[in-house]
Amino acid sequence: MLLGVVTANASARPSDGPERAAKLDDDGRTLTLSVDYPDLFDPVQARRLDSGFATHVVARAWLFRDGKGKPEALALRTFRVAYDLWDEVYLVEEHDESGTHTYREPKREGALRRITSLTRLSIAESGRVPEGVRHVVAVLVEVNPVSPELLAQVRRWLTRPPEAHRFTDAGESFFGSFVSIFLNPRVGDAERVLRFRTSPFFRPVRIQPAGKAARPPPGPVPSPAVGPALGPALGPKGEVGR
Amino acid sequence: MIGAGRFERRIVLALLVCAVIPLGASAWMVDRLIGSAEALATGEGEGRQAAIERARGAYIALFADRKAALKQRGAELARAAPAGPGGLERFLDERLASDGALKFVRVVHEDGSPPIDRTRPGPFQGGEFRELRVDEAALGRRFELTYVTPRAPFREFEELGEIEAGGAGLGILHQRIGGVYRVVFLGGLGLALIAAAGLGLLLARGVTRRVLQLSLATRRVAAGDLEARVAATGRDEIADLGRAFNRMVTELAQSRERIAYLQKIGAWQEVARHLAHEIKNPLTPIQLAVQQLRTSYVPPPQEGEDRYGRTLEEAAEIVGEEIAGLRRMVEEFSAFARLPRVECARVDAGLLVEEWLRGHADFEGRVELAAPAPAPTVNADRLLFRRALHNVVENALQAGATRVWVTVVQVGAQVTFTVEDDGPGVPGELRDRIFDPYVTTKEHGTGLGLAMVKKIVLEHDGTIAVGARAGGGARFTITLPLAPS
Repeated sequence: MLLGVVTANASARPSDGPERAAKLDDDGRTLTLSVDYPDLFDPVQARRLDSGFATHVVARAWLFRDGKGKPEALALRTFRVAYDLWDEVYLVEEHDESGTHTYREPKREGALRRITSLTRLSIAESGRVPEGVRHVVAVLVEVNPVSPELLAQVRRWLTRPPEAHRFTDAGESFFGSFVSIFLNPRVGDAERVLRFRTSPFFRPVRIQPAGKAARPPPGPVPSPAVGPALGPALGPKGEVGR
Repeated sequence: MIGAGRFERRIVLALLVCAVIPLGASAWMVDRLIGSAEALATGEGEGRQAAIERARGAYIALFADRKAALKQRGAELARAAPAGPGGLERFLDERLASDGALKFVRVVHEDGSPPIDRTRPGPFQGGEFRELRVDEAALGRRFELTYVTPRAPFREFEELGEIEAGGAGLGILHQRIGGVYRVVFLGGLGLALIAAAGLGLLLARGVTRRVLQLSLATRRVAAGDLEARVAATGRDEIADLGRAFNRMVTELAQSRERIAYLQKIGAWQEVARHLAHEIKNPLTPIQLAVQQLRTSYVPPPQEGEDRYGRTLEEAAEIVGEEIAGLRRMVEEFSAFARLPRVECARVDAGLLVEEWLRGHADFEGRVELAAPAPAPTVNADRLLFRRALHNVVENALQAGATRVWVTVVQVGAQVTFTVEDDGPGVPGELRDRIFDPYVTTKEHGTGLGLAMVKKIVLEHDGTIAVGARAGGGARFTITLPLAPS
């Protein structure tokens, strides 16, 4: 368990992956992330969406204080897309903490657009993101990750091999148990993994009517505010990053 | 220490080599095995993927065929539908009754007359079917047809997709499992090597530590310290070596002590011989002169006290007694100086003591012997050893003992003669010197008796020690080596 947590954390370092343009919004209640990652699928992989079999996409976003290694918040959104051979549409199911939404897309491009972008993913409550403190969001997207059920099944096989494959009972089972200790759920066990992060950002300090405004932290000079309340972005035109 | 370290390194290296060769070979074999298993798994996975692809194609064809068939049935229905409204409704009812796949029909007239809806009688389990909407137009009417088809093949197709996803996941995990197996095996290999090195170091240190102790003790012995000993615990060869070393040093110390004592006794024998010679020579003239004085003295003729004559008589008696004492001393000195060389022969130890005791009737009732029959055999000079034994017993009796116990027992490779008495014992401060010549506790003793005893015993390659008897008195312990059989 501990190893799994450590491994999961190790896969979500804020320094992982290149910076990518992203949009962060703050409506005063929730900090949301919108970002596209169309490079998740190459043309060959994209055509596999037509197979009729379901494809799963799991996107995780960790909120870090800039320069810190411990995440302050985690957001998760999963997609399931399958081409319905009978109705000849792409059924996209999107699931996150707000619930499940189903979309019918007649074109592959539409379905791809759905699953290769995060639109207004709730990262954290605004109150949990202090004003004027630089943060960064690290994103990890997996295509068809190994399911926990499959992993549990494999661990069972290793611990108690099927009767037909068992040539020694105690020794093999012991060795299998030993090996299964190291076979833990790990972020990144997937057909394809994409990691990136946003540029550092911070919520702007609100001007107090009668008080003094706090000084922004050292760093690049903030550009005009992005979104309703989200402060300075490092990139132009309402996007952070390049 | 440097040598010991080198030895330790060699032992550790040897154990490491012994551990590395089979473990390395098995690691290589395990790696090959894992590689083969991965290759098999990959091949199996590819085969399964191909089968899934074929099944997928079959399902796609099935769905397409079914869809085309339903559309064709819809077109045929639209073409066959009669023009009149009464006939159309009857036709639709007949079709709904005869076509199990048709669920609902709506006919919309282009002239604006009310549409006709017909639904298949009987319940439809919506979850068990999928619907297909077919729109057809004919003779100014639009037919909106809803067909159904069983959902089961679609579920099977979904399951096929799950199998395909599981296969892909297994493909990912295969690589990890192989890696984990390698890591676990290499970890085990590393642990085994560490254990082998630790064991080697432990074993080597157990040996080198004792070898080092032996080396240090040897150096002390070489420097003349015969008190050096090593802790010889255990049952291995090094412990045997330690015990042998201790025995050797003990024997060396005894031998050195024996040689030193015999040299010292030899010197004292020479002194005794000189003393005896120097004292003995004038004794006879002195005795003769005194006798001449006595015989040549003529008492005065007058009556009365002859004071001079009485004094002369008394002086002559004193001189005679002292001369007799000196003669005895000279005899003892001579006896001490003329101790013969030991000539050993095999003899029963108990018999040896018994024969000596039988020849001394004066000891009867005072000296008691306890010896096994037959007693162990020793190499001894009968005459000299009896003399030594006699000296010890006589010494005890002269010291005031009333009972003496002589015991003969075999202890290991030695025979022990114990002489215990109920006399005053030997004071502790004298025990170290009691066997030196001229050391005595008796008023008229010469201190040569026990010196002779020790000389005789040492020349028998034996030892002698004095201590205290448990119930009071002295205890002399003489040990002689057991005669080789």
